[in-house]
Amino acid sequence: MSNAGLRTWMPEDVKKQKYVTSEMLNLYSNWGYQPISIPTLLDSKLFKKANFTSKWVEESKTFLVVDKDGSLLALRPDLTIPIAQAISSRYDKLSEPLRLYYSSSVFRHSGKSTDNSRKLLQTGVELIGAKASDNFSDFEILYLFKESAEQFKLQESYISITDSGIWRKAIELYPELGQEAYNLLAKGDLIAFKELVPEKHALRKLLLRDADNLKTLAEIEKALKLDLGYLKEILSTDSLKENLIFDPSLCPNLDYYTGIYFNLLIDGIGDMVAIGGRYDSLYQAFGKDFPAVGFAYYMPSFLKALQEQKLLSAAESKIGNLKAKSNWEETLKAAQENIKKGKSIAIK
Amino acid sequence: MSERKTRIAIPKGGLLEGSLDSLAKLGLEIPDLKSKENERKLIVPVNDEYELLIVRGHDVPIYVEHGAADLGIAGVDVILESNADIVQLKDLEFGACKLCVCGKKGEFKSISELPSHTRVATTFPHLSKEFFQKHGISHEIIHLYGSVELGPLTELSDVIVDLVATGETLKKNNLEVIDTIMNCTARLFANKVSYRLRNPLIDKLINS
Repeated sequence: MSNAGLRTWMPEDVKKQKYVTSEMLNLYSNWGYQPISIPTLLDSKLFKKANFTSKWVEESKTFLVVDKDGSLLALRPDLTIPIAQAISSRYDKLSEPLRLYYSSSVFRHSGKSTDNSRKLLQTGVELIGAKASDNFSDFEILYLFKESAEQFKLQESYISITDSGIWRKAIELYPELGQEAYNLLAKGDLIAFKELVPEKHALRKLLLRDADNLKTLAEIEKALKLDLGYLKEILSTDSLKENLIFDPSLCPNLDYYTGIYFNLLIDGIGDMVAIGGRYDSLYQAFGKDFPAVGFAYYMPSFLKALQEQKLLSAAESKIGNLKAKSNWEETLKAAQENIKKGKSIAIK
Repeated sequence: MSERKTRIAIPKGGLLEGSLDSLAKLGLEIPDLKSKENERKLIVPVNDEYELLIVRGHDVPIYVEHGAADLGIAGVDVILESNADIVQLKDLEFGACKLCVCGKKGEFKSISELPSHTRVATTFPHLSKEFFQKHGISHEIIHLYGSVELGPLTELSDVIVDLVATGETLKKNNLEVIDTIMNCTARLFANKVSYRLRNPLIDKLINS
């Protein structure tokens, strides 16, 4: 019997998941990132404290458990926030940036209207204590975000990218119209957005979709009197620019994101596969002034994409049959000889 | 972008003809669905770029939200009821109707006269709940899958929430409109990823 949204992963699927996760974690490890593990049960007040209003972490979407003393615990609905709390309570100052990686499940009541997934494996990184301008930190994160997928030779994958400062400036210039326009685009209502924002208004530029990213960027800078110089650098950098789509119509959560914001799109996979960005004000909720940037891959969607493109053959291992000998010692010897040669065996 | 065709989910039933006409107006050469070749087909090729997916109206947003279809056509009532995370692209201005609260003729003049705990039969449970909550009316939703007009007639419910086009069905069953929740027309909408990755095709379609 299985409950809706709580899937049992059978051996073939687990092997694929472990293979992909381990390749990703190797990549992060090679770049100086270290593992962190967050408790499954957390104080439910943690998420209120962070004053974080993302739809994923709303209390109504969080599983709550009553502790022995009557207080409420939450099954972790997110990893970045508990990591922020843990790092804030351990460090007063960071003499150099912290690089962390994780691969853990989060638990949420269904986030999507038509989907039941309640347990979601996330693999990702956090770079804490480095501003956007420090040692190319945004470049590093974006490179790792891209490489996480490209190392598997994934096709038809694109990264849509924007800067949350674009919407912030739009709302500053046109407080009421800007906020309403943001709300409409965030919920995907392009029809109401076009009815609200006159055709020649500067905010209409946010719908620009041009194959030339730099041309779109120049138009946005002009319309909103903004300097997006570092985003221009990202969009023109050889190691990053391929398959990047500058999309000013993306609506990052402005309570959370403070700089670049990006997500991975794969043609044929209806969901966003991975998401990331800069959230420099998150640590202030825990009394620290640590800038931070990071990303998370949603592993079920990522695995689905890799599987559909038949890129998981490396995860398939063959198990050979070993006929049992007349006694255990001989059987063990034969088994060990096979294992030494790198073969997996099962005694039959 | 891949060579996979852009898949458009369109609803069976009342909105089918209008959907095909709208797609034709947007520049697509629509095949004859009644031809021997296409009859009973659920996936109908249009040309090298597009194919049609013929599904039940309420299922269109589900196909699109999950990415099983890139684009879809459905009434705004069905889109909002599904709460699907999609991008609404264009009002196709056909299939005009209203989502209304209706009751037995002469029984309630306005929603302020409804019983203290109103039983509501409907195929639109989410939109109904939202409306009654907004107006502070204590209520109970009875989720039906069709012929909701029978609700008040069989005392299953006090009122119904249903789509009203000409009002003929209401009249025949001695029912009338008490209040209008929203005006509805059919809309073209897209999967959030397809909207971003198939933009030249989508832009061509919505700007033609």
